[in-house]
Amino acid sequence: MVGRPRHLDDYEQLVREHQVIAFRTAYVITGSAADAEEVVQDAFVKAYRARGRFREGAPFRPWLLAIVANEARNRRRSLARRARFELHPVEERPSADAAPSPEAALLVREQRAQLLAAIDTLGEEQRQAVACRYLLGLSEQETASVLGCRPGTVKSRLSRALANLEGEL
Amino acid sequence: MSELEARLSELAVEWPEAPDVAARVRAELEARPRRRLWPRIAIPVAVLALVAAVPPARSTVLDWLGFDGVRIERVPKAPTPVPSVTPLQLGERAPLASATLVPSELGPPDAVYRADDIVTLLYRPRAGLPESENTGAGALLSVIPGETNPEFIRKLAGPDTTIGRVTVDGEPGFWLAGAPHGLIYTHPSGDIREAPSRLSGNTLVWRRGAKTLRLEADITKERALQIARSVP
Repeated sequence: MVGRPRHLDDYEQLVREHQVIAFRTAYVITGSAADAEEVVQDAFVKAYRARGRFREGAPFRPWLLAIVANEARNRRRSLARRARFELHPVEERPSADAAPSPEAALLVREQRAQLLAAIDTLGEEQRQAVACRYLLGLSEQETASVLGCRPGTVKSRLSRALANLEGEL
Repeated sequence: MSELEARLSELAVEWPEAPDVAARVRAELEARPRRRLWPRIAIPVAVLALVAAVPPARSTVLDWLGFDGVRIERVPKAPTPVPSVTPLQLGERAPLASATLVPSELGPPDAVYRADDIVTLLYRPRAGLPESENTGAGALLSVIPGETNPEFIRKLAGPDTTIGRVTVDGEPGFWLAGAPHGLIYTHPSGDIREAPSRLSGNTLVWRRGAKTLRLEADITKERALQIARSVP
């Protein structure tokens, strides 16, 4: 088949560019790193095989994430035990020259931990919406396709989540 | 963005480490190609709407979409037919080479054209080959070299076009009928070119060894298959 190796080279490059966001998206939905890993691998294989349905000129990421999320939801449905994704604040590694005072660093850490704890009190739908939109930085449209709902639903879930977080904090 | 939203966006969290799956994905794709039956004339009948225009730029994604063979995509509206005064732009007149594939059901063509390595046989309208509204010809048979030039032809099929899979001498093909559809192909140089003057009506596209053949004529699917099977 003429050209095949080159196309797979190109695709391998696309996989490398998008695998981190794909994995984190899958993790938000499955709640398990091991499941997310399998989901991402399967999703990339499926995306390649479905490339004929990709609209040329459109951005690749939303299309890919929709496939990843679909795989992840199927995986989640088939599991007896449904895990919730867990997130921890990043450990501060202060740089030598601009290190904040110990008090300031402690305050930042506490605020982060508090915010994460507040996110954990949200129901699963709101928690996933917050993770996609803010922690992963997906667009509203991408969040909608990942969560399998309309953009309007994302908007309302997010505004309820924000209200709940305000109350919690 | 509210202060809370800003804090959320800036919140640095520790994600589980993302595995590198690129090599495994590639290995899986190399081990199990999608459909053995359809290696060259491909496959996907796209369901997504596509503007009936040549994509303005080649993206990374387009590059890996650019396998040789035929792609058919649904468009909301088929391209507007061009005025019939426009010549067919089949290329230069050429002599009938001995190697040219001539279907015995049709016999020698009335004219032969060559453009970009695509050889087209033209048959004037006659009994059994009505004049095509779109091309004015009775039948056009194009032979596209799929092996030496990794080009692909893309049909833009509107919602009124029906698309069906067929088999010709054990090789895969498509039957496109109903409404005119445009034709876009990639020249061996890599340029995406549009064949502007031709909007095919009923069309049979099929693979034959290393080549892709396309028969355009206002005839039935059965008759088109008969002609296709008579290609030596």
